[in-house]
Amino acid sequence: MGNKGWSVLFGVVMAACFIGFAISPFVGWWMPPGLSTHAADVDFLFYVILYITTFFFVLTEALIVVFMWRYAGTGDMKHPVSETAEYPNFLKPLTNILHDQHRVEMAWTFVPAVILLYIAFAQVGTWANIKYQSRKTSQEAKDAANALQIGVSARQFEWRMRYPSALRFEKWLKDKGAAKPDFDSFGKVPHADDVYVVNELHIWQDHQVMVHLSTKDVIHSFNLPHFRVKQDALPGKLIPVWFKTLPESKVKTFNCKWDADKKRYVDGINPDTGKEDPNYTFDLACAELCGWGHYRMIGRVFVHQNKDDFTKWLIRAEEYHRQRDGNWLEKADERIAQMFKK
Amino acid sequence: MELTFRRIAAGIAALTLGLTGCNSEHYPAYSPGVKYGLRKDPIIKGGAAAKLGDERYDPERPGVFPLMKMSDMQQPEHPFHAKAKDLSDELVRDPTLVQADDQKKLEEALVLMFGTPAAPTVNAKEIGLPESLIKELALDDTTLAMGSTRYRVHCLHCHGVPGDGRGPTAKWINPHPRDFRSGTFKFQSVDQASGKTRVPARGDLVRTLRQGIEGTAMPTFSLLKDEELEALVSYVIHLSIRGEAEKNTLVYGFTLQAGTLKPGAPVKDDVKTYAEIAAKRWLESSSPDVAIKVTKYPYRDDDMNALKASVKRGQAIFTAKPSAEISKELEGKLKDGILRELEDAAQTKKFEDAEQKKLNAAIEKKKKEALAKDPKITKDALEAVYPDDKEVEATKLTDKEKESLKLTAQEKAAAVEAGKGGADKQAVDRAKSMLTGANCVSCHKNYGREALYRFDEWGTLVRPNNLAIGNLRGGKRPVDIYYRVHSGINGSGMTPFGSTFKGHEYLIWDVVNFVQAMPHPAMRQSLDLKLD
Repeated sequence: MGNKGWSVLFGVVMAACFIGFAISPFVGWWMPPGLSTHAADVDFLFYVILYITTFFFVLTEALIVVFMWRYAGTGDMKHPVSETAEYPNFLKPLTNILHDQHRVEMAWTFVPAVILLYIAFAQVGTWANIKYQSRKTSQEAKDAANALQIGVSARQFEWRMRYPSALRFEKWLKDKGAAKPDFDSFGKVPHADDVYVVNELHIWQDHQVMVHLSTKDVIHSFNLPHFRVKQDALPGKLIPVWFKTLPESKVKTFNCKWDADKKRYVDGINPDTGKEDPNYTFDLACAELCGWGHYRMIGRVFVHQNKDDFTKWLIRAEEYHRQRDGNWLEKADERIAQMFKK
Repeated sequence: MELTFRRIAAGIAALTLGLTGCNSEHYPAYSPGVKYGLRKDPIIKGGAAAKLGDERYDPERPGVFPLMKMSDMQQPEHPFHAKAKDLSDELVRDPTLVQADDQKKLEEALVLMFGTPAAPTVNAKEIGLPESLIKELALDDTTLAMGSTRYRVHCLHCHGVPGDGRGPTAKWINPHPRDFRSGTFKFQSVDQASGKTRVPARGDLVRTLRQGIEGTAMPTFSLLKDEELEALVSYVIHLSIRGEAEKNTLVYGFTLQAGTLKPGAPVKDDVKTYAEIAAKRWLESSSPDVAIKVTKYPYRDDDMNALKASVKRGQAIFTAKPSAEISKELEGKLKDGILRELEDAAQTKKFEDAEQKKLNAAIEKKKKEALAKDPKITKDALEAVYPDDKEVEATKLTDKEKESLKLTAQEKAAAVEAGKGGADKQAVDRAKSMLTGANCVSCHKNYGREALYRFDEWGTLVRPNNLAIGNLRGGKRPVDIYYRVHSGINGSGMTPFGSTFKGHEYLIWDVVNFVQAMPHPAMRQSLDLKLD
């Protein structure tokens, strides 16, 4: 095999990488389906970059392997290059260009520059749509005023969520004008009646969510792979994060139900079959190496079908959190019955 | 060249195999050679920590590493250093002073009764425990083996192999991870106010695993399956029983003689005795009878005026400075109670008198019978004649008799009239002891904002919570705060106050309401509450 063995090794490893990559969407190693309204835009950018880099990856790796084979050393220091070494036939027409270094340099400066400029401009709109409220269309602005606000506080190694109480929440929806100062200050000011849960992010389908993200210790990153959300949490900063799931008409994303035996909500439920299905487990992962327990800093996203289901959850969570004796569940059921009697 | 190529190819193959071998669902067991080992770190004896006294207040004070050996205490930066002259065997026991052959005996006994990390057990036969206890506390070998594998992955690095709270990551954690070996757990719902320190119920440990402890390094483990959490709890109980048996054997089974610790009785017998005691503590706490009986919340949720008054009372109890108005109100309530107590006492006395009369009659009858049978019976033998259990039982009042013996209104009035003179003073005294007895500010100085450091049972410096921030480790739920006030926090120096409010536990809700309102400026404003 001699020195040509290296080119074979490189060729095999690179081919294995490429094949592994190419088959992964078909064997379940790919990204989960995008379930938020901005997921399609993010995925588009992802694929653009993926195709560009794949093209250049294959091109450069193929050339490396070919050249390594062709110009493999002989081990003889007097004639280090094999005697057959000359440009391969397919490169012959390029000989002139390759001998003019100025043109080569122009080419490999200009082509990547164009590509990078394209990527830079292509992503501006998507980024702005995800991040800036001022870019929102009137319908979206209306959604924002109705947004479900959640305070998320990261710490080593868990997520602590803060929700408004059901009463406060109803007030916001009913009387927007009067409740506005309260609504706007929710992220900054914890209230005595807030509901705290740990590692569970509850939202409902087709509704704008606003997360007020903070961290109690080091840098963490709030990552919802299914909803294409990723935002670093920085110490001392309160960072708003927006997202909204796709409507039910496009894809059903609600994945949880009340389990009367366990006396808590369970997630990972397929909305069509009502049975457990790992495809409907939506992780909330930490995407910033934050310490030894980074791997276990996983929460879950519980998507409810509609606002009523969410409210039922909120009332149950609230009664558990406000528990003064054993019968929190009866109290919660009573409140739910009263609220939905009509 | 050829060799390098082969090496690299082999490396890539190994890496591929290694990566595909990763599986998060897989929990490997301990290797069979791993032992719990014998305790080497100093044991702070019961009550010793309190004798060491308070430390200065210093918000910048760094944490200290857990005690690993006696010489740690002699380091200048260690808080024990200044108190080093006090650290005799009276306060601190050094297990390394046990002689080698006794150490061997102790280890053998512990392995026999509790197995190894790979094969944990609670050996009921060796310890002398009923099999039913093993079943009730779910300490069977299968559950413990499952718990041990989960513990190895999720808990060991902080809580350590024998549950000593001194795992590799524990050193840098403040507050320290719990040391299970003392059998003392902070947050639980089991009654501690009756003068007995109890271990938590299983449900309390499950809740801690599910919710984590905010403000410490203990995170939530809610993503584990229910049966995994239960197995972990079983394993922690196993570690705790083992550790407590070991600790108590070292403290009570050995005495210090000429620089070495000598056992009084055979080491195995001591381990057996203390293991049995420890296991029975867990059994006792699993009974619902010892759970804290939470008094019903006395106010309506939407009654703002009641809440306002309640929070005021809570603050008065917290600061031990009740206003005249609050004292008067409680005295009124107490007086009613005292008068009712007088009635009850009169009623009880009437019942008891009637019962005694019946019993006396029965004894007389029995003696007469004995005399009739044997007229020459000695005086002593006649004295000893007594109705058997069944006959005594028959002298108890029936419901019907009780009904007929109920006090009339006249009798009730007479009873009240007779004791009325002392009732006023008694009410004042009792109200005072209830309103000033808890005196929360004596430790939570300035609502905890200037609290002094003190030593806890594990020999660590801790600070009474700054309640104005509202980071409540034992849980934010009102019922959790009620548990803390009623039964304290074991080992921390926070004593149970349940008996302070005996019979009037609704006052605890006032303290709970106050504690809950404290950290919220808007809430304080709407309740006219001032913290200084």
